[in-house]
Amino acid sequence: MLAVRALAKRYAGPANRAVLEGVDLDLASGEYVAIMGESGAGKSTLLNLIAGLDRPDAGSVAVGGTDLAALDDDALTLLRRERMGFVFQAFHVLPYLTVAQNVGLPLRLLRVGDRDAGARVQAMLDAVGLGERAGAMPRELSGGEVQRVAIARALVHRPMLVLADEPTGNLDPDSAAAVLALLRDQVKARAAAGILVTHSLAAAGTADRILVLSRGGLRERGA
Amino acid sequence: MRTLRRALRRDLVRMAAQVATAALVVACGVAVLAGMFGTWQALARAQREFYADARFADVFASLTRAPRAVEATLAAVDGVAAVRARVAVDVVLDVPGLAEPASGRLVGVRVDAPEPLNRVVLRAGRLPAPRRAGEAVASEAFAQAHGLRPGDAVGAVIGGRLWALVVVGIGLSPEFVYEIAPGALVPDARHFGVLWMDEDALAAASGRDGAFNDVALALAPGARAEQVVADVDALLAPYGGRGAYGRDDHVSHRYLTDEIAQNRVTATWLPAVFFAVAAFLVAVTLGRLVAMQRLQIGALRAFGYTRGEVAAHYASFALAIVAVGGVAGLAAGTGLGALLTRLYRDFYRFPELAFRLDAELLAVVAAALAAVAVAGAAGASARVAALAPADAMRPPTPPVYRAGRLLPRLPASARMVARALARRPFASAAGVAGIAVGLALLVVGFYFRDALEVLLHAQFEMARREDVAVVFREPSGPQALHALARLPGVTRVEGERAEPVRVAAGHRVRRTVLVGVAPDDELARLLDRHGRAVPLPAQGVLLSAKLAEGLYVRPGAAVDVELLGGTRRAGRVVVAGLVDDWTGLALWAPREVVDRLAGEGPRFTGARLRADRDALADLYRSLKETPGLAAVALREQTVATFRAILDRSFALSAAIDVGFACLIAFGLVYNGARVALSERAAELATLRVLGFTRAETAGLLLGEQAVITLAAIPLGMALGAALAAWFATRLSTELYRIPFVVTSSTLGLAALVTLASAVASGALVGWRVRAFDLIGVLKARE
Repeated sequence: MLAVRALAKRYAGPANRAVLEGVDLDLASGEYVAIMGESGAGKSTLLNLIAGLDRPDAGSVAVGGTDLAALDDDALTLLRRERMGFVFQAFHVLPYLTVAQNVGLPLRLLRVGDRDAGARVQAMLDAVGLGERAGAMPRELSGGEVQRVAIARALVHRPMLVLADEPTGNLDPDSAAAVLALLRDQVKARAAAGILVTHSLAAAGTADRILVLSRGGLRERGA
Repeated sequence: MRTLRRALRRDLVRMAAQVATAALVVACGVAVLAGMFGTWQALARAQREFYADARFADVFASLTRAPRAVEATLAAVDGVAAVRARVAVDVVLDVPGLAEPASGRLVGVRVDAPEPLNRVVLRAGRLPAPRRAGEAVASEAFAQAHGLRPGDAVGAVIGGRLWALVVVGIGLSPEFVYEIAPGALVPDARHFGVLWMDEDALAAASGRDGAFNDVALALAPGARAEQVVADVDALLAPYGGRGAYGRDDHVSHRYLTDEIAQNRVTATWLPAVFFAVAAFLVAVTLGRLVAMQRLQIGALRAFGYTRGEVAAHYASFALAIVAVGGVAGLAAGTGLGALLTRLYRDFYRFPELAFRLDAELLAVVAAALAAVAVAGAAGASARVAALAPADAMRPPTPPVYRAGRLLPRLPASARMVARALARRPFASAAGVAGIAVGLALLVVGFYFRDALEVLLHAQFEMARREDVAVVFREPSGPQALHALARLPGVTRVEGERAEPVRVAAGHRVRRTVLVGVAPDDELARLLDRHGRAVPLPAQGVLLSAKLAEGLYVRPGAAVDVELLGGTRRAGRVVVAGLVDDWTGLALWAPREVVDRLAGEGPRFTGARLRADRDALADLYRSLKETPGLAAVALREQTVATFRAILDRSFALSAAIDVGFACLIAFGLVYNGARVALSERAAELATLRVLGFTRAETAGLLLGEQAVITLAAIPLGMALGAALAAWFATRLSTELYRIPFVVTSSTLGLAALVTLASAVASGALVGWRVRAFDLIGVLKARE
């Protein structure tokens, strides 16, 4: 489902530092991996390259067999729209939309009909335990609940790849544990592939396998 | 403090585009202020200095003929400081290279003693030699229009004889700063000019040896002009006096004074608009900076910077914008002022009309800039000063959103735009108001051209339909019309009786003309503002509505009419109705009513001719040699001159209006979009990651500005129309009224220009969205 080959990325500057160098990663449907590493190791850079938010200096990323290098910005956007879901540390839910409207946003982008979209949003909210809060505004929710909205939004359009960047960085331990369990369950339930970028070993422990990014390369933890 | 200065430099560079936009609008305001205020100053200064140097008279009178001895009697009138009695004659001119006849005013000048009043200032050549009839000084405008130089000759019919006047000098006079033919709407230097001849030679040539027919007087300090006018009038009545009048009724002075007054109005309100927009942009830019640097403000305060030091740091951001705009604006304003004064030099002739960037102008500009800086920085600086360090270091309280009842029905993108607008209602409203003002400026700029086109059409295409209008030197009987009818190519002749009168209602008095009209006149029709023929009353007179307004009379009231020429008879007549006309302050009555009032048979002061177009050249040749004519006016030439002036004057003002309005729209849209971009960066980045394309994201961002611009368009149109109506009232004078007419093409063009500049600035912001740092934004923690 995801094939990353010999991925390299350098950041221009006085140091001209190589952040990623020769990174390979394969991910199958239903597989859920955690990527760990120190600050500045390149975890988020790897995630951005996989999502097509940034262009690599070398190597390739293929999602569902589509080489991202062959796509222009609009095509990459459409690929993200259809096949990917995102969960951010800072939630990034839109404060002026209701919970249901936030979750329904990807479906609106995909021009899913109102009735179908409504049913899918409600089902998704039920799945993340927010079925009763569909009409609430984000400010009325706790941090953990807001992140559950973000998870619902990332999965409602049945993406093949879910990318989560420090999704529990802003949450207390209890909420974090609940959110991580939910994320894993939902990724598995929808047979998507999932990548969880985290600092936390506890968080990483919820994944099928843990990969560590250091000195530009990616390796299995303990390998 | 060095740290703060470094921070200021960094902020100015980082927000360079917004700083430049605000500075550009400041520069526009300063350019308009310096240019227009400086032009107003230049005109007022030139008038003051020329009047003083050349001793411009205070009271004027013309008469049929009086012996020279009367001059001493005039000098003895209480309140008179100086008198100049002279000969002045209106003639038809034959100018080399000009097929059609021109009109001229020949004025006697003393060549062997200094003129006590209305001195001629020589620009080239010399004064005529004493008692030499064949020499003249030509007015500068007339000479330039024909390329006349000392040594060239002009033909003039004086006293029934054709003279060749050799131009020996080029000159200016305070009497003819605005050199316009009597009764004309615009100056036409090709067809009207002033020529100064030796006093004695002109008197002899025109049959006025030992006599005078024109007088100018200077008032003694503290003298009342009204009293002197009344005394002079009484004294000259036996000599065919046509009514003395003060400077207020002097045509050149009146036009010049009205122009200066109009300039003062424009030089005040137009820069004020720019400064209001500039202050808003500075406030928005600075407000955004303060909001973005909230944590930094807290840190600075925590490090020990005082409230005042931090507030002053942010105020200096506004000062920097204002200073940059001020310097650029002064440079542009100097250019604009020089351009405007050069344009004015073609219409108003002074020895010196120069734009000067003097201390007074600099002080006015500095005061305006200080006001912009204070208005732009006050709010943000006060917020900075009021911010406690502990509060500043906490993120601001997020805005509270509620689920609207109507909004859910809208598409998600429309809802986002609506929410964004509602989030900053003041800024949104100010953006709408600012763009509307820019559009209104355009409407007003285009309106003047529309208005003058309407005036031109009403005056020269609807009301007047003659080919040639002539003025007789002396009122003449029907035989003069028969003589004109025999001229080559003339197919119709209509006599005209226009008598100078003084009309009074109680203590209110005006000096104007009473026009005798015949019901079957075809070449000069009495029309109202809608182009409808005004029926002549069986009894009484019709009054120009503007005259009625000045006299405070209504139909049914009685006014006293005193003829200022000929028999000087007076009578009381009833105002039978009002005519809403465009120019002057006339009275109209059936011609036989005027004849009866004058106590004489049919007399004509002029005539209108229609001629066969193929014979116009022959007619022009004949008119140049016809004795007894004081002036000739050609309708087509008048229209062409009017249009040429419109084209020249309005090309510049339209360019300025369009440029400035574009800048306002561009600045407001760009600034608004940039502020929105920085405020909504996280939201827009999120949407991009979720699958919004660049175009869709830019659409959301610019949708807000599009709504603001679209909302501003009808508002701007309405505001522009209201401003045009205000101008129509404010700038209408007794000389002419400016029609209120805002055409759909003007509104459409103004909207189009505004939209185009908004789209251009939107495209620029859209380009910024393309280069949006998604990763950087999304890594930022809320």
